[in-house]
Parts: sequence; C-alpha cells; structure tokens
Amino acid sequence: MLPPLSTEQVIERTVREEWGRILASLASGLNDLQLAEDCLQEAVISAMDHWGRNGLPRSPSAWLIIVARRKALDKLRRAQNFARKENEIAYLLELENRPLDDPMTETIPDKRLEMIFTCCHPALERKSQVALTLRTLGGLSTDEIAAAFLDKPSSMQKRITRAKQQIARGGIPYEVPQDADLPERISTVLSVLYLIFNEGYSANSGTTVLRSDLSGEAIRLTRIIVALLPNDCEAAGLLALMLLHDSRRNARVGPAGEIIALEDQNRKRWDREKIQEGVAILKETLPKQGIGPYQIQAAISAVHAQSPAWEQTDWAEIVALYELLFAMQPTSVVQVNLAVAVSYAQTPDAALVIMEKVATAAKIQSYQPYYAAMGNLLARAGRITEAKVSFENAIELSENAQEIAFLKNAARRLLH
Amino acid sequence: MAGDALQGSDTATTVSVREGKAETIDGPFAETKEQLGGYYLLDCTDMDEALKYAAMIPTSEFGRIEVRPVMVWDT
Repeated sequence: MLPPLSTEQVIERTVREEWGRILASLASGLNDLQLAEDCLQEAVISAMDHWGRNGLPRSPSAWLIIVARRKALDKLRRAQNFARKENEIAYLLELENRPLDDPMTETIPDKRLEMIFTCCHPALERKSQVALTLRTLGGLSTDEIAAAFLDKPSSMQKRITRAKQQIARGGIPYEVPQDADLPERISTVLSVLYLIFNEGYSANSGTTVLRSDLSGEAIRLTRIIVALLPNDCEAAGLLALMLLHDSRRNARVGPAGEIIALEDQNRKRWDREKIQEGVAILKETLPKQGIGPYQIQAAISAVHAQSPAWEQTDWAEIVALYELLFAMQPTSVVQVNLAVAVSYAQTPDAALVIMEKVATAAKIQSYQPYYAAMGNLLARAGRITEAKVSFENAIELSENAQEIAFLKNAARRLLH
Repeated sequence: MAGDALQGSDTATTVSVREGKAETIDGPFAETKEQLGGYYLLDCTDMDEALKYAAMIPTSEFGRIEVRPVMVWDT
C-alpha cells in the first residue's frame, strides 16, 4: 500500500494538473492575465502554509480559486483604477457571497479554450505564443520554459511579461474567435502545440535528446483541444501524430543515454497503448475527408508503429504518404525525409536525385539533417569521399553530444 | 494605443505554405531524426543563441518541478 501523499506533493500535483484550468477561469473573469497569475501564485503560497498546518481541504483546487479570487478582490479594491474595475469587483463579490455549500462555488468554469486562443493570438511572436501557452496552460515555470528554449530565464521572463502586456494593451479578449477567423486561429494553436511537442521529441541542444515533460505537456494540451473541438480533423490528427511518435520514446535512448536508430530499436519497448490510441484516432478521422499535414504525418508514423520489424516496413506506403505531404508542404524538411524513405523503398541513388533538388534550397547551409541524410545516402551509394565530407558537416552542425556520437558511429559503420 | 499593440510581428506560419512559398520548417520526422541522427536547429533569428542553462533556480511559486526526461530501462 502506498504511503499517503505529503502536503507538498498534493500541492505540486494539484497545481500541475489544475493550474491551466484555474488560471484560465480567473484570467477570463478578471480580464487580466497578470493579475490572475499573481493571485493564483499567492494562493499557492498560502496553500503551502495553511494546508501544512490545517490539513488538506476537501477540494484543493476549489480552495485555490476561492483564495485567489479573494486576493484579486483585495488588490482591485486597493488599486488606483478600481472605478474602472467595477465589473470585475462585482463578479468577485457575487462569487464570494455564495454559500459555501453551493456547488457553483466549487465549480471552476473551463476557460482553457479561450485561453489558448488568447495565448496564440496573431499579434504575438510565435516564440511568445509557445512560451505563453506553456506558462498559462501548461503551468510550467518561467525557468522550465527558458530551459526548453535554452534561453536565459531573465530573457524568457521579459518575453512572457511583454506578451501579457501586449494582450492587455491590445485589449485582446479572452474568448474563442469568431467563426470566420476560427480556422486560421485553430491552425496557429495547432502549430504552437506541434512546436512544443517537437521540442520534447528532439531537444535542439544539450546532452539529452528527449525532453519527455514537454512532449507529455504537448499531448496533454492537445487532448484538451481535441475534446473542445471534436470536429477538427487536424487537431485529432495532431494528437495521433504525437501519440504515435511518443510511443517509441522508451526505445529511442539506450542505458548510457545513447541514441538508438529506428532500425535498431527494440520494438517490444514501443508503447502499444499509445499506438492503439493513435491508430484508432486515424481510423476515425481519415474517412472524414478533412485531410491535412498532421494526419499524413500521423499516418506515416502509424506505418512504422504497425510494422513488427524494420525489415517489414512498408516503405512504398511511406513514400506515397510523403509525396502527399510534399504536395501540401513543399519544404526542404519534407523533401529530405521523402528522399530517405525513397532510399529504402527503392535505392540510395534514387534518393540522391531528390536530394540534389534540396541542395539549392535556402538555409541548407545550416540544415543538419540534410548532411546527416547525405552522409548516409552517399555512403550506401558507395560514394565514400563525399560521404565523409557530409558526415563531417553534419557533426559540425550538431550541438547535441549524443547526436554527435551517433553520427560518428554511423560514419564509422558505413565507411569502414 | 490599442491598435498598435495588435500590429505585432508577422507570425508567418511555420507549418503551412503560404502562396506557394515553401519555408524550411522543423518537425518530428522519424526518417531523419530517429533513423539518421538528424536534427535541425531552429532558425537563429527567431531563437536566441543557446546559453547552457546549468542550475534550476528554485521557483518561489510552487515547489521544485523536475524537468528531466524519464527513461525506463530494464537491465
């Protein structure tokens, strides 16, 4: 039997799980994200004190929001501009005056959908959208977000503060956008979640490759979006994509932290539940004819997920899917991955023909996967000298210690 | 002014193509990232240069929350 959780653990868990929901509700009611955050943080500090002395309340999250609201009321009354805050004060007083056993007192309206649209407002820079989403809905601390982007915490703090100020000054409302704007706005939200997941899937620098917290966070947030927008095919596709990629997490890294190639992964370590869920989502979504890049990427990942062994991978299917994806997103990234798939479906030489088209693309000079792929393809095509150069370039562009080790080993293996 | 704040920087979509202009984007692609050790450092004009972030400053907000990948390995 497990020991009961300590007060600190309960607080940490409650905050982690409920932060987004509580904050969204507060921010929307107060029409002020910064104020909401300040009050909620103070409520959490109070909780650590009170719950430690008096034991845990019946409903920790209700306790937090009630205390946060009281603090907000306090601050608003004392603020210089309280006359303009009449509505917010009235709202808070009304909640405050409800009897304690009124179920509505404990109900925390779910305003997370409104919040995520606010965080992903087009007025904000993409990086700020991501940071704000992680902060408000994910409940990540500024330090954690800074670490994800390898920023200085002070820079990230400034960025987040600026973003909140933009929202306040711009009068950006905490609401779901109008129908006409919705498709574009949803697209932005999904992009932000995709980026957050990608950070976790392949951390861009540092000594570890995976940041499972971020991937898990992205999945959690995407689940919320899917639940709130059940008819959006790409949202569902994005969730499937995340689950299917994430299913391989435990097989991607070895005991010494080394990267294990897809080809060499122990497929018994793939998470079957995540695969099942991802595939089920696709089975339901694909027939709806709302096909898009996320669903296609999910389908590609599903082909891998459902293949019992590397040798049995249906590469022809993967190539077909990449060609479809390329038609929608004719980017270098997609092209390089298409080429790699072609190298397995057909030959490395066929793949190199495609790679030639990428060679002239913009930003290719700093594009590490291009060189990693070229090294592999050239080596397999028997063009040893050129392969060596490519591998060297790839290593040069890598910032991740494990990536570098992987590339060195690959070069050694392929070039004897 | 309220209007100014809304004229933020152009958040050109990083995932989709606009008017045929293909952008180099990053994403979780197994064929390069998992199979070949490829990864892409996001556009540096958008991200600050990396400064190794050593210690987690304990936040006063709420306890310390570990940010470490959880790796399961049965020997």
